[in-house]
Amino acid sequence: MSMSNGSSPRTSTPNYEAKSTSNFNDTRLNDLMPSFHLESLKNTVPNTISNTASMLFSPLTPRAVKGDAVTIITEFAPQMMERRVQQYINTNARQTENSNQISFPADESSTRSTTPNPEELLVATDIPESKAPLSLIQGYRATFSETETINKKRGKNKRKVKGFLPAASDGGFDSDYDCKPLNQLIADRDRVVKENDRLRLHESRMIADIKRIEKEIAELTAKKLSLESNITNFGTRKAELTDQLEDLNEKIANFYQEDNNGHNTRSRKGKTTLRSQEPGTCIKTLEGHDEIILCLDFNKPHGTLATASLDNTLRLWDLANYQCLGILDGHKGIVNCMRMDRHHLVTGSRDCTIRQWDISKVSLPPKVKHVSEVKQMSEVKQISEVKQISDQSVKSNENGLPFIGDDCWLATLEGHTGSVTCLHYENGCLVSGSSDKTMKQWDMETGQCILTMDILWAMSSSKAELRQIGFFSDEYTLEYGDFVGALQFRDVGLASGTEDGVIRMWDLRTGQAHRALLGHTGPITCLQFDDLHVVSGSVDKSIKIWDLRTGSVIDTFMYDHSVVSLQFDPHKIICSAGSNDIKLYNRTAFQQSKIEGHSQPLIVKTKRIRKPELPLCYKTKVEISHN
Amino acid sequence: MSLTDLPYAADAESPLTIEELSVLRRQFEKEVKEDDVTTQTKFNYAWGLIKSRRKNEQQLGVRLLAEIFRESPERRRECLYYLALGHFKLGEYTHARDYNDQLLQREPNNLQAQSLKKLIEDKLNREGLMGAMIMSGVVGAIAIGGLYIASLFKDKRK
Repeated sequence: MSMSNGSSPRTSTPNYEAKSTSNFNDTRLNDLMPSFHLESLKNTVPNTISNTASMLFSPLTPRAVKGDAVTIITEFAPQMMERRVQQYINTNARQTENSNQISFPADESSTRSTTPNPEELLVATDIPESKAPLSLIQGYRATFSETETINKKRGKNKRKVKGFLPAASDGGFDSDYDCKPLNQLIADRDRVVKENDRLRLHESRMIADIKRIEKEIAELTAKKLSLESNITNFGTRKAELTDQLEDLNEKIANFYQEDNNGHNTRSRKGKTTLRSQEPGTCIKTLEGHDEIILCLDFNKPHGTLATASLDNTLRLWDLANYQCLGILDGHKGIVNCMRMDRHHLVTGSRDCTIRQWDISKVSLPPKVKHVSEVKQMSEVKQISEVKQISDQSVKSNENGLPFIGDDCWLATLEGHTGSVTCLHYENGCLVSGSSDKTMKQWDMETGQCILTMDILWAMSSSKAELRQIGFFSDEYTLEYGDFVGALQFRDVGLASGTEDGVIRMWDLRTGQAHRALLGHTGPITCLQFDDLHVVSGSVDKSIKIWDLRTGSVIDTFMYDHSVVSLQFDPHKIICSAGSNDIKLYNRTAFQQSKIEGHSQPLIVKTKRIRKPELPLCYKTKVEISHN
Repeated sequence: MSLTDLPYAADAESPLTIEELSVLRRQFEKEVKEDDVTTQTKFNYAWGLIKSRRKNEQQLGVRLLAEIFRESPERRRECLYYLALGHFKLGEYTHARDYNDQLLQREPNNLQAQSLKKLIEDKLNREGLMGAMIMSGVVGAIAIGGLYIASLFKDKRK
């Protein structure tokens, strides 16, 4: 048996032959036979004997062999075959078991036919010292003695087996009474320990989760910051680009306009000044009127401009191309005042009428070829061929500019008996003031006068107070003799400034003046109010700012000459006061400044502040300056 | 604490009655249904199974013990002993020896472990002896068979 000798390196191997075989008897065979079933092939080293034995046996089973060997084979072969089959199952199962060492689902225990491999359990698991107060067997004994008392007690057969030593019994669980709570205590303790472990596991998992989430948050905030910085960069870039775009637009417009210059007979007097867009600088100068320009209005910064002058003309200009669109004819007298809406223009004139025009009907004048010549302001010359672009014959005056009055005229409002000196038009509602010492409110649809407000009557009540202030009507002379110098209304509230230097507040529902603001000592030439303040300018060379609620003067500014016209918004007040420049008062900084640009004294000036442009007119030129 | 009151191997040879075992089983299954199996119940049932004479029950018992081993770190040392015992009863002496050796590593003075070790070694030696006996029997059988065939041939020739 060299095989058996050499193959097993067990320490006790050499001694096996010395041992007596007397213990080997048939009764023991049954107990020992099960030991023939093979361990896993991985444990071949100490078990080669059993391996070889079974290997020898299986091929021999069909053969008839005499003697004891026969009985051995025939009796035990089926068992050994079963063992062999089991062995294969074992090895296969063990191989799968080994692949997932630690996870051993409890519910599979019924389907498996193997017992776990010690390698799996012992590997990588630490076996700490047992700290349980009660060992498992003690718990078992406690339970067991309880179950024994529950069931009928039967005598247990305890076989005497070699190597048996009496077991020492510990604990104080003799009586039945103690066992039950002890058992429960053990069970409870178990549960608590398990719960503890479970909670610890959960806790560690949650902590890991929290850490992960914190990391993600940090990443996301970093991303957000980078995106925000990107946005700011884009913002600045966008601002730069819009500036460039406006610049280029201007240049293009300029090109176009210069192109047109050659076509119009009415050439500009050379001054196509285009300055940079700094505030307070002149962008454009439009020329065309022969006489002093009395009033003007425009609807939007690059829209349409209407001007009226002493030369009896009312002109429309296109502010995008800076060219004249045409002359609105129709009024029989000079136009004193006007106001423009998006599509409507309302003009009041010395001929006691108010006319309404639709300016959206105006288009650019047809291109005409002309031989341009330099002209004087009052003279006109024309050598032209009018190229007909459209089938309609275009009426034109000697200057080549079309008369567009018929195209645009909408309505005429008659009723005043004196020249209309000022008007205000807002939201389809119109109020006009006239030298017949009345103010009238008109319905724009029907063209009828709704309300007439008699100022004389209102004035009579305040003459006494005026004398006290020191107003003497003969000291001042007005060039234009406006009885009602200025008016403005909003909803049902109307403010009027009259020759007596009094600002009256009217209610348009009743037509009565409910308030009078005294302070100016000269006729009022211009006024404006908003929710908080009233600003008025007068021939007495001053501008007064009034608080609308209390009616008291907040501020007064003195100038060198009489204030001709003004306009204000929350940030500034601009006015003209007889000098060559425009006075600008910054309301937030409380500073006065000037805008230069006109070459002649401003006698009449009207401005409308609409961001960002500001057309000013004086004498013959209309200047558009950037504010 | 060292394990001083482990049951000796003889304890594992005394099976429970059917009623007793069924009590333990019922307790175990009840807890399984509630999904709240305590270690003690599992052990009780496992130990009861190991003590029985039927092999499949012994195997189940050993499996349950393995689960306890995995789940409760504090019970692992005890489980080593019981696993050794279980495998011993099943006849897997090498496994039994592995577990027992692990226990003896940690508690060399444990009486029960030492006695179990002796038992295991006895069995292993016997196994070897059995193998040797069978081998010799097989060789003898082959020899006899060969001689018989030879004799047949001899007769034929003559």
